[in-house]
Amino acid sequence: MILVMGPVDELVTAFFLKHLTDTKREYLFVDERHLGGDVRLELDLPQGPSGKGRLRGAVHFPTWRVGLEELTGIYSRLGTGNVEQRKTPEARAEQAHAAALLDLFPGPVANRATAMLSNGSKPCQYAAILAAGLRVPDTLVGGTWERWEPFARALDGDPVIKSVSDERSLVKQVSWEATRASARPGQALAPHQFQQRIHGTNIRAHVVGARHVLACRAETQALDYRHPDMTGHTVSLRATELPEPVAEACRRLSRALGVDLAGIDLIEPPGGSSRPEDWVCLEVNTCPGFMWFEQNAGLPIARVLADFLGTPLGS
Amino acid sequence: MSNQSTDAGLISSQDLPKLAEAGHVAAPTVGNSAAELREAVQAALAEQWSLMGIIDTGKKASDLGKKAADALTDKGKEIEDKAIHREKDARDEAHRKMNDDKAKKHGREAGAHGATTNAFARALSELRG
Repeated sequence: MILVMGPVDELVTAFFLKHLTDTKREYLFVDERHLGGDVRLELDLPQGPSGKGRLRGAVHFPTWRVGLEELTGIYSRLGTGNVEQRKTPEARAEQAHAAALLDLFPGPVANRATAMLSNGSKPCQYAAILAAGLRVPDTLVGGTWERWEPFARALDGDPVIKSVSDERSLVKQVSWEATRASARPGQALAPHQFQQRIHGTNIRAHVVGARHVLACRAETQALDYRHPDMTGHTVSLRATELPEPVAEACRRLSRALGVDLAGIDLIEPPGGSSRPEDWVCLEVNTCPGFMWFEQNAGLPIARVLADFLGTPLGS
Repeated sequence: MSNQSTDAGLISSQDLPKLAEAGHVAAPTVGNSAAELREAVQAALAEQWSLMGIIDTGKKASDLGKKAADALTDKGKEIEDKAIHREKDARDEAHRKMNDDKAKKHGREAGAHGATTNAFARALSELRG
């Protein structure tokens, strides 16, 4: 049985629940608004040697319960959407229990609370991306004017500015003159990330269980393909197969970050290449909203994810 | 939520910020068994999809209106530009709210945790068995 946690009316949560319903899978759902109220998590990790079955506990409802041993995998969208979080001690305790469950559950979890932290710092992720064999863009984080100017002037074209963390941001290209004009005298640069703009085709690869790679190419003239309409462009998403060495690099990267569902943003070099070191990885989304890609490119991400999370441990 | 309504409810990128805001549909009742819970979930999903259908229909009507106006007069173009600006403002506002919300929920906790070290990852792995 798959445990799903998140707000029922958050888009991706709803999309995955619908898939589970349509395919008649056994699932248990915990709406985060019930945590600390109608739903309590019981976790018991006794002293002793590691091994299967060490973590015991249950998901408790007022009149019934489901033991953790009945769960095969967990899909979490906790913290997404704009659900008002209850601030009671009980609710906060249950949120902490939920985070612990995501980290300690022995079966597959998409994704574990600690594994998702890597997206909080793109430079941190870049270490893992480079270790997996992919390229990263030339990057300057924050910095002083003394460092910014030679960085920007050495690039081919204006640099791209984007969030250094997992904050949502619209990727923009900014000129040296515009950046300089917006600066306040005597003030350091705001903590943004400046990068070389990479030319090529945007590819989003969803990796499930560090094994299954489902990729699509985004064909658009827009700099940020997620918001093409803001610059008067359109986007077309089309399923594609990655060259096997590149797919294998994506698997390595997912494994290194410990994420069972990754949304990896890649740039395929003009003319294509099967060498991972020719491909640039912009970031790894550790809580990817895969619905848009599934709906528009026909990738069976929900099915593959459900298969992965629904497989009993050890089988 | 029927297959038909799902197919009709294709989401565009500009819908995402608006639709990503949860809280329109109440949490489903937990009932007395997993089966009862799943029934309540299905009802909640149907309500959610219905809301999305309304938004989708409104968007289509808006798009058609824009095209007609654009084809007729320059004034129509001006109105469309204003509508696009309003849409952009709404999206920026949605992003701002989502970021504020996220910052409230995770900011300090995530910052305090810092980066995950290999040693920590190994320790977690050992705990899982």
